[in-house]
Amino acid sequence: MVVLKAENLYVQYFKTGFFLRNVSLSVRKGELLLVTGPSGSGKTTLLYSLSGIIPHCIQVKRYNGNVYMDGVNVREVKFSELSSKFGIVLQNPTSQIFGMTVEEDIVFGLENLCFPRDEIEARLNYVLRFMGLEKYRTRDPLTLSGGEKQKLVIGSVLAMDPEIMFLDEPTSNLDPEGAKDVLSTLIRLKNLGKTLIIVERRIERISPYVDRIIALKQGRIVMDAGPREFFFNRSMVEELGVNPPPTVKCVYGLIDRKIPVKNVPLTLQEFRLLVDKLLNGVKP
Amino acid sequence: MKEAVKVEGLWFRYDELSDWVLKDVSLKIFQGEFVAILGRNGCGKTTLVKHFNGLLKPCRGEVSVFGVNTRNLSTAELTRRVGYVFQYPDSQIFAETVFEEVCFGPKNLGFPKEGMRGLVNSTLKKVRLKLDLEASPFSLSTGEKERLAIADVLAMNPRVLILDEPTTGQDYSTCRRIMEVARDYADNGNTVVLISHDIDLVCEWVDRVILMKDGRILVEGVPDKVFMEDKALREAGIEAPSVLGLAKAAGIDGKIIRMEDLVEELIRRIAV
Repeated sequence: MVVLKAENLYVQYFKTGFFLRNVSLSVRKGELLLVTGPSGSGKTTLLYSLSGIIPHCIQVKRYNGNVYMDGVNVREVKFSELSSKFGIVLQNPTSQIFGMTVEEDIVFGLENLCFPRDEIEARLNYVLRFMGLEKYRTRDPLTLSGGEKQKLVIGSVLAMDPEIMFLDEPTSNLDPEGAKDVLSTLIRLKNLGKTLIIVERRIERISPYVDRIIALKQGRIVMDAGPREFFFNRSMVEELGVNPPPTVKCVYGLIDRKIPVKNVPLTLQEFRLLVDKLLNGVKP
Repeated sequence: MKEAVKVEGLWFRYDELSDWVLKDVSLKIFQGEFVAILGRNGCGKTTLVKHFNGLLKPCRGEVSVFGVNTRNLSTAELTRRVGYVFQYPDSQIFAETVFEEVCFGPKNLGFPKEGMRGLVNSTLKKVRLKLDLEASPFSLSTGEKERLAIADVLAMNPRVLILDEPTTGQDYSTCRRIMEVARDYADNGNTVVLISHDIDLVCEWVDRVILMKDGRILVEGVPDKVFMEDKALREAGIEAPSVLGLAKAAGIDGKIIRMEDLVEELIRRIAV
């Protein structure tokens, strides 16, 4: 089932230069989609357009084409009708945190929509457990580490139980421990059946776990493929300047030394199998 | 080798009521060296390097730069010797044009006016930036801003260059360019001190690694040695280099932390 669809989308902020040019894509329910590309390539603009924030909350000079969320053209409904379907995590978690305590932050949305008290309590407990934030329930959110703050923002979004979650660079500004923690949270969200659209410029950690990678360059989609196919297209990977996972980098090194490798391993297990084959003289 | 920075028994806390941030730190950094300081957020990395350019002065112990105690030098004098590129370029950039931005430091240090355009051009070349000198620094991309912030400091030609997490939030090609710039600068006889969380980049580019935890130095040495110390890495919250994991998966016991070396070893084994 397709939950999001863009058709020939053009977005222009100013008189000159398009930010998105002829973008068409569709996202299936439960998919984990990674959007990448150099800075200024239109990643965040795509995220805002797919969620209807453009054109509802951010004015643009020109907007051509269509975006459908759950079959509804985002331009033809009120923003409030869309906002119950999705949640968004912005680039800087601190800009989205405002509760005096962790629990206050998580229940804010639910209280505003007048959810019954016991439902709020149930969801709060669920989110605290899911995010591993139980012990921080009454803490001031601003005293949390970067990774914990990021998890709190994701948790506050999860409390609203949206079908679709958009995340703008959820791991790139975190230290390695925080990044790893948030990444495993994202994978567990996918296992819950959520549709996730994640923008990242550093993709070496997350790419083995995603269903599909969309690469943007100067506002156009230049690649839309599964991670294996994506990294096998080495000239595109290099043109985009993205860092592949280490298993892929090693295979590039082997190919440079004239070892014929016809697929790219994404996990250590796959890498081990590949090396075994090479050492036993089997053509991989 | 000549000592660029020497720290002896350094203790520091921000005020008398708070905990010690640095606890008895001693280290030497030499001329021509490219050194990385690693550790969790909050372990004292930034506090330590702020002592190198005199932004902070020790509560106990001594810090000297090229043999002179930082207590006996004004911050202005230290700035000529030690350049500090802050963590977020946006907090450092302020001028209206790229030209004004790069020559702000040299102008204030009284560098001759005539040479300014040449200096700006050669400095931008060093950081591999091609920019319109009249453009606004705020119109640049994140990667360009970071390199411009480095250029601001390099223009003053400091003998010690401090880079505080220059690769965080940058795309990979910018990260590589920053490391090239730093390596070149050290190879030309200067000293570079890098704070970073990017273990794989650190393995590939630096001469020496200093691992910190809770205000103390846990281990230091060449990357090939430090990244073998599993226990210390775990304690400091540092991941082992990804190449080490690949080598293990491939059944190689040797101490390999760089991709080139791993490929070489695999080729050797395939040939047998």
